Amino acid sequence: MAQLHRPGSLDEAVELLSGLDNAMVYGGGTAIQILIKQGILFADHFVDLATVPGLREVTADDRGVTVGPMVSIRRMETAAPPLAADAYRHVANPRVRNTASVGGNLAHGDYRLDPPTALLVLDAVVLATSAGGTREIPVREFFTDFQETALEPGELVSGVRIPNQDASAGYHFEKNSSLGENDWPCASAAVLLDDRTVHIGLGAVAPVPVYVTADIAGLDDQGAVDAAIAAVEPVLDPIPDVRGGAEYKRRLARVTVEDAVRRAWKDRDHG
Amino acid sequence: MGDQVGRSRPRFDLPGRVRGLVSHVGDQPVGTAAHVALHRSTAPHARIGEVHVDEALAMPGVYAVVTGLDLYKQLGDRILTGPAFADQPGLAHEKVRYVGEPVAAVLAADLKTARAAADAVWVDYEELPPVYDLRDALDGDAYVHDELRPSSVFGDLKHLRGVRDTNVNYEYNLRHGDAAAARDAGAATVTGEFWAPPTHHVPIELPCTIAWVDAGRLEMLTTTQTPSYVRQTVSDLLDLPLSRVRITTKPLGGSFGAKMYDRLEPLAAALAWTTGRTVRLVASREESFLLTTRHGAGVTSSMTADADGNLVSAIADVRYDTGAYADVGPRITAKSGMVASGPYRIANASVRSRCVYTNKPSAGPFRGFGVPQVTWSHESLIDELAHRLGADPVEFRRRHLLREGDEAPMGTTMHSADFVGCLDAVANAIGWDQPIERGDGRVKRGRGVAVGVKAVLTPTIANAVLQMNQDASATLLISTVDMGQGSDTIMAQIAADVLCLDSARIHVVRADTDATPYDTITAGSRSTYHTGNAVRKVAEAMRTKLIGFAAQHFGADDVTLDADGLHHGDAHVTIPELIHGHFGARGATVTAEANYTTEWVPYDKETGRSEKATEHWFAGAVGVQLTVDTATGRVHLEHLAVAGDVGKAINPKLVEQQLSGAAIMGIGHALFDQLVLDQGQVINGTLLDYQLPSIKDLPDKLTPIIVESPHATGPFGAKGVGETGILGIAPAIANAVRDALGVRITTLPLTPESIVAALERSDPWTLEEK
Amino acid sequence: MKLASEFSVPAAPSKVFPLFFDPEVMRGCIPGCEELVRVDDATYTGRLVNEVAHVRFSAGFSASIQSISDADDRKEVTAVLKGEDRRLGSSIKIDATLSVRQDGDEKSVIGYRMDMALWGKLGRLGEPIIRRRSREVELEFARSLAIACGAPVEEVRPKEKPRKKAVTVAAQPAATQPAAVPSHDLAIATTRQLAVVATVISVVALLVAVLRRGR
Repeated sequence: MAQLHRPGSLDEAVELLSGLDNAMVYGGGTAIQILIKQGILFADHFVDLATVPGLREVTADDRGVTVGPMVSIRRMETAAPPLAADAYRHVANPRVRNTASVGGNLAHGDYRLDPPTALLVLDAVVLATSAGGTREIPVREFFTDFQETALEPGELVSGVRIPNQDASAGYHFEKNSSLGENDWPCASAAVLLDDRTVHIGLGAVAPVPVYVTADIAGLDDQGAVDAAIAAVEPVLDPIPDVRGGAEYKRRLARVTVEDAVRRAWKDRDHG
Repeated sequence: MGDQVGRSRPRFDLPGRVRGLVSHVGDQPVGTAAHVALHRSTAPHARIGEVHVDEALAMPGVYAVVTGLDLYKQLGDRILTGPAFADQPGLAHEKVRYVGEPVAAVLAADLKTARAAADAVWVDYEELPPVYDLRDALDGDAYVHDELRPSSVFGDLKHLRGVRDTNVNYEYNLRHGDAAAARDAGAATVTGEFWAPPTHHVPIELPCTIAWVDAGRLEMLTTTQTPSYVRQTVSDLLDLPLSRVRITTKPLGGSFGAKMYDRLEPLAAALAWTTGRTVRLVASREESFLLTTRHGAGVTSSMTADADGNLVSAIADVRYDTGAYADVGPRITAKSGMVASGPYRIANASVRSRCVYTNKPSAGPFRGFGVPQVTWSHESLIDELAHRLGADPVEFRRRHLLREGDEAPMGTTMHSADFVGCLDAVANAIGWDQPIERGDGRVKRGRGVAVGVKAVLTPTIANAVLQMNQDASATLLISTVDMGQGSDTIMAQIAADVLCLDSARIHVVRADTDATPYDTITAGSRSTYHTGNAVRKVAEAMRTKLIGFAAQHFGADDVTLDADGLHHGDAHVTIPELIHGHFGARGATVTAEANYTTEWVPYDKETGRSEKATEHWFAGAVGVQLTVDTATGRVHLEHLAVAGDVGKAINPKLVEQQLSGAAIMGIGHALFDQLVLDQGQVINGTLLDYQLPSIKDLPDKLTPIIVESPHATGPFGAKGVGETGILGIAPAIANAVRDALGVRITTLPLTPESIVAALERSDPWTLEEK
Repeated sequence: MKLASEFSVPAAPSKVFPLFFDPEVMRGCIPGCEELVRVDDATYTGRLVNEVAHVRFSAGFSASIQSISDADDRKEVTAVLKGEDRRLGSSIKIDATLSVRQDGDEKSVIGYRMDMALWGKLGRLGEPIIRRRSREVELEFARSLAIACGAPVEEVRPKEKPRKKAVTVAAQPAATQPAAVPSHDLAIATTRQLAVVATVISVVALLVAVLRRGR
């Protein structure tokens, strides 16, 4: 039976995390509760961040926005730069978005989550805090392997800094499921596109969320689409499951990228 | 007669259902009950060796650990129960037959302790060859059961007792004319290999049973659609007279067939009786996926037309995968087999329908009772045949649909089954005759229709008791279970109409076998007709009684009843005055009772035909317009119209809701809803992975259409409607995909991946052409 | 669930085989098994110990050799492996085939086919995770074996990064049961059996570890 700890400060939280045996950070709890109910999570201690002051702050400056780990996904629909806001808006359903946290969503490290696709494109930085202090991890280096992140034992996500989005760039977040409309995505793509480069964050089509870019200087929209698809092709490494075989998932990934690039293109020209 | 029938009165429990003010079985406080958790099998087919319970027993808070052997020692073969075959033990005894089968029950002070202790039980298994699918079962030499054990309930299964070395527990055959010869002589034949996968009901309310012993009686509060059946089962199980068993229910939070016959109840009864404790069993969401499923079914079938386009032959080989236990599979096999050729005039028909054991969770009743699986076959075939002959699919069906007075290939005559009216209604609703914008790019548009036919469960029995209270309110005692379909509301409307009351003044008592009379089951869309007739009759009996009282009161026979009370000429007495006067007491009651029973003629042993296989028919049709994104394979439903002939809508709003609800469930089955198994293991049995339609999967427009072709003996001409809407959904959608893309898919569900694969096949036709 | 793959090692079968049958080398290559007891020529029982995300687990298993094919150009072993995790109420059964064949002068191809049944709580969870993890084990095994064959370390670095956390628990002889550890003295067939057993069991070990952690 796991023990619940409710630290009163971030320092106390990381102390608990490093001192306790087999401890896990409890954020919004939307993923952890499912695993507990299914009887497959065996943490001995939960360090609940709900009572730690200061973790729900959203601070904007001229360079971007810094978000506390316990800020809800729901709030990010309005607090984040437009591309990220769109991605956050597509997470699960309103009940989950009201409960799930920005930090937990990142630390979960699942390859299918929506927000990482946009954070990769926007070059966000994850703040990781342990008893030894705080370090910055570029989100492009954060997702290291299948459900593995760059967080070390004893570290927790203490914030994420999202740079402002280039206002002249076009953007679009596209999410496709293969079964029920409300299901996990089978392929998702966040796209930011300026005159020279298309930035693409991909979800669900490889063991980790992936970031790629393509040079589109001088190309028309079809050229940009072709360049984008050529750029994502080498990183597609989908895991076959009940939601589709590898071939279908590759196909859907290409369609998703194409649609996202076309819409971003329109957004840039007419936005 | 009053004005209550035909009104869309809001269901009486609407605010309570929405606000959570209706209490369910799981909400019932149980005091110091023992909470039960089950240790489940991790082998698909194995002989049980030792069951190690010591570690679990030693855990603080654990009262007892009970195994199948423990129950067998006390109850013997009576632990084997089931509606058609007595083959299912509450806890596995000697063998386990599917992954997840309960092997031991832990009784503990709280559920958490019970579950932890259940995890501490372990079992020695001696593996047996598993039977994973229909092919293993029909072609292999491993058998899920050593011998067949038909229950005593159905006389026509007697000949199967003791049959060995087979996984086929029941076979129904229909022989009408010479279908093979007619096929060979025909001008055009389409042939298909169809598959409809197993699915789960996923009612929102989880199954829960509380059982206790009170003064030597076994009492139970449980989530069941079949309280009268459960009472008999518990009586047999514990060898108690029916009077010493009490089954009570509360309103169910949905069921769709998931909560009927032998679910948690036999085990709860056995545990309460053998330990003397109050026990509470609740299935977790994950466990509920293992309790019962819809039958996965394979259908190999053909349909043949002659040179003039007349249907001359329909042939179908139907295999229902019933899993480890027969449950009601044999009944499903026959009831669906007899309509496997569809609602058409066909000169020759041949059907073989088999119910097959495999090492998987048991399949049982599910909205539609096996008929959607055969509708998937016949509505795909006739559509393809129409295309093949260059005929319009609506017109071709229309030409061949059974009409009033026609005899179906299985021998029973059609009455109050307006297939043509339903088909015309949906075709009209989706603009079948209007030009269609096909789409020339990535997105293609198409339209499709399908027609469905189903027989009502026959024979069945319904009873009703009515108490007229002195204040002119009434209390209706029936054993129909309101699970969201609104039965309490319409039964009150029927009684109120006869008695010229406001239906809101009639309270329907929830099923309690100590008080409410026997009723076969609340299932198979049978309640409106059967229990509705019993309610109509009991209300008529009550009216007769009141008129009798009034005749005494007036000293004259010429008495009428209306909304103001009873009249003789200008003389008038209200019901409260009459009853008060008659008994000399306020609050007095007048009681009446009535029975309604239907009969059938059993199938002919050779031909499978019956002049009266069913009391009445359900007729429905579906029309759909959709688009398909050829890049992703994704289907988008623009408009879905669903029509059902209900005879007479007692409450039109509730009828529309039943049609719409069934359609939405059917959309899931058509597009993505399926239980995926791998070597006997359910691999998507959680709500993370199991796919149900959400609000986002609904059609842009959903049109329920009521067709009323009154039934001669229905209450006010009415029939049920719970299943009508679901029958044709999947084939209508597949037919529209065929119309949009030119590809025919015969395996459900129609996932985007399967549509893309069909588009990319070099030969898109999976239906063979002659 | 069926899993199948093959991978090349940069050495001729003549060089691979001796390594392949050498328990010391295999220990260096295979993530997984801590304890292995030979019951008879065709039957083994053992225990897997692993740790992922601070969760230490231990699962018992048994392995039974079904057939050995010993042709010069192609060698193949089939085995049935069964594992059980009581705490998770789950069991695993794998019908496995491991083969080694020549592929050019200085190359061999090692192939495996597994038909895996995962029953119980774990079974309803993890198909994508299993497929993914088996790929990781393969890459790790391939890389280690290639290095053992003498390939330079840089050239055989797998496409994916090695896992950060300690899933590559080196198989250590169980100190308490030295007699159970196979040695060079055993018949070559026995050693070969151990190789296939260890390979497949290591896959199972990772699956159990990862699934226990959840997703």
